[in-house]
Amino acid sequence: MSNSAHHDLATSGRTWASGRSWLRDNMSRFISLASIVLLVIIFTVMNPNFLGAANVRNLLTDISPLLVMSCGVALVLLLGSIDLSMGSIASCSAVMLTLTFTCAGWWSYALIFLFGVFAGFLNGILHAKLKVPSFIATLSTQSIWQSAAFLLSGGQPLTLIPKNWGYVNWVRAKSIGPIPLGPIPPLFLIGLVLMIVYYVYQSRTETGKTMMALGANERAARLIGLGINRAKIVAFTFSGIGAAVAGMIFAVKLKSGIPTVGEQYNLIAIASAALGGVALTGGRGHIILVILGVGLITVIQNGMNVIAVDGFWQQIVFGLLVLAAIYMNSDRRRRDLVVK
Amino acid sequence: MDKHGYSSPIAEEFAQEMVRRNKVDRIVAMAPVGILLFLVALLSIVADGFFTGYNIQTILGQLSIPLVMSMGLTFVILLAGTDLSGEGLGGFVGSIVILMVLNTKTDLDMGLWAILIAVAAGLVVGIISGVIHVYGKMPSFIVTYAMSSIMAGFAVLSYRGQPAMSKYEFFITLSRGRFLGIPSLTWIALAIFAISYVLQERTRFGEYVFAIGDNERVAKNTGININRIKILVFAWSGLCIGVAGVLGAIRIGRGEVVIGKDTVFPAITAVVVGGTPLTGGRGGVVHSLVGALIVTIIYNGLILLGVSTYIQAAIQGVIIITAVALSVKRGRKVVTK
Repeated sequence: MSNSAHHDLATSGRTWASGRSWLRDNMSRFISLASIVLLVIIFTVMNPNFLGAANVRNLLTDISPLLVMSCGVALVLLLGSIDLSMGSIASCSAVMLTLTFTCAGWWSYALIFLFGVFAGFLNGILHAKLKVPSFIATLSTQSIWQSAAFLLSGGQPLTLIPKNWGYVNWVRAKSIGPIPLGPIPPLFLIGLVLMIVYYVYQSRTETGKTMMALGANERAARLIGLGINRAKIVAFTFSGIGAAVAGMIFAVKLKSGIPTVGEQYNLIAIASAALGGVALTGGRGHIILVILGVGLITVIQNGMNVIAVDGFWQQIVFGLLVLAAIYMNSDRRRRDLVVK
Repeated sequence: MDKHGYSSPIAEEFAQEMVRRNKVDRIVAMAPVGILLFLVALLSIVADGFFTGYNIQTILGQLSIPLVMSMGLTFVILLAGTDLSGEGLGGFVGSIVILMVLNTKTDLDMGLWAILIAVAAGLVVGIISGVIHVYGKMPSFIVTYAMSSIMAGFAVLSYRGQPAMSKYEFFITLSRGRFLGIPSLTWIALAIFAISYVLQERTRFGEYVFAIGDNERVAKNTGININRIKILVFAWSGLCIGVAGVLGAIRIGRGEVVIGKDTVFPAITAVVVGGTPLTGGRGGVVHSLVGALIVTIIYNGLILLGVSTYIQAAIQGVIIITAVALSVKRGRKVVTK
């Protein structure tokens, strides 16, 4: 936590930040954490098996796709930009992975990973080089990848043929070689590794730090000679990779390629990044703490499924959550701020 | 030559430069019309049955919803904002209007009042989006994106999973009716266009929208109540989405959330292709009319050419990126987010 507060101070230059404003800056994180604890207590009281090994395993598996997507979009949000194409990149990846196993075998994973790199890189180029506002660039690529997903799958969900199940059975592995995993599913480990890689890259490399700096003040960052375009393109590429990995997770978890599987995840990923304290205006946030938002969303999602709430309520709740989370993180202290 | 009798080279140069720029601007403004004519010519040659009376009537029918949607969106984009709520809000308005007229699901039979209430619902949601955007200082695209999800949820909630079918005579007459060869729904859309034109050209509101879009700080310093204008713009956009939702419900005769699906993207494309840049301040509703015609003709032409409907969205994506990339200002100092 103190590390994040340090980030906030360093980038926004608020030297007068007192304890109270520190509290305010971290509001969404506290609320997320408190809500997670509260909801976990409620669900455990309602059903003592909620914290049993089996359900923890379920929860951790459910968390993983959202975790990789949210960490990816968090990097883009740090720039002050947005990525609305993740959902359909994930859908397209899920469909492609299901199709490529037959001809490419284990290489399929590498191919889809490269697709993620390409899709993210394309967003980055459109935004950084052609100066297309990120929301419209990614909204357009979102429709392109959605079309691709529908075309490749013929509009129908594809099931993985039993011959290829060998490529996805590792999902249920209980150990890596001699190391036992206990209740931790391999998919969660993937999410965790990706999160840590993103965090280390963002906080330790020059390009990563540039993302934060240009989100806080792009003109200043350019004047001191930081590689603005490079940072933007890398952030979008990472977001694309996150989306593609999420798509692969969906495919191996469900043993099928559903062309609409990622549809609702655009909003949910943005919501969890915002709940984890990433400001949509850029320059403020912490990749590791995004897991708080992801945790909250997943607990809500699971809880709603457990108490059998209809799917459309989730749309309403997540929409409201996005508004609330962004409201908590938006800066209303500056009177002259122009928000478009 | 100025009034003192000697020529000032700087002033002259400036005047020439302005004349040149005006000329360029005028050519750029005419470009969409050129594209439209080119498309009509191209499709008349390539696509069988494009330039026939029947197909022109079809195009005019297909034009109605994108045109209405883009009329509201034009004002929002003139402010350099965005309204992405159409997908959910249009679906919601379309769903409730069918529930309120004579239908298979409820006993409500409110007739024309249903239309009024449904459109008012669109207006109210528009105002809510505007208020959250303005007073919460949150970017408009994310507020409306979240609002779209919320309203899509409420749409399904309103009919609880099983959409209602319309049994309302008036809707059936409207959906099939024609006047002077133009479908009735298109007349409604043209009426919305006329109102938008008056709003833009003949009212203080229209002037202020251009002023704010051009430079918000300057507009604020001249004493324009920016917040009020912005909320009014989102209210107008909500109303247009409401009308579009009702038109969609009339067209398919069923109150379902899918009415709003794939309506926002064509509308944004129409506005941008027509010549209103996302940075606001320039363009207007006449441009968007041309843009809506271009979008509709491409849609219609691709269907006639037998292109898979799945590719339609991708093609729109490519068009919109191209249009935006051509219209944005570049250079090192420009900051785009």
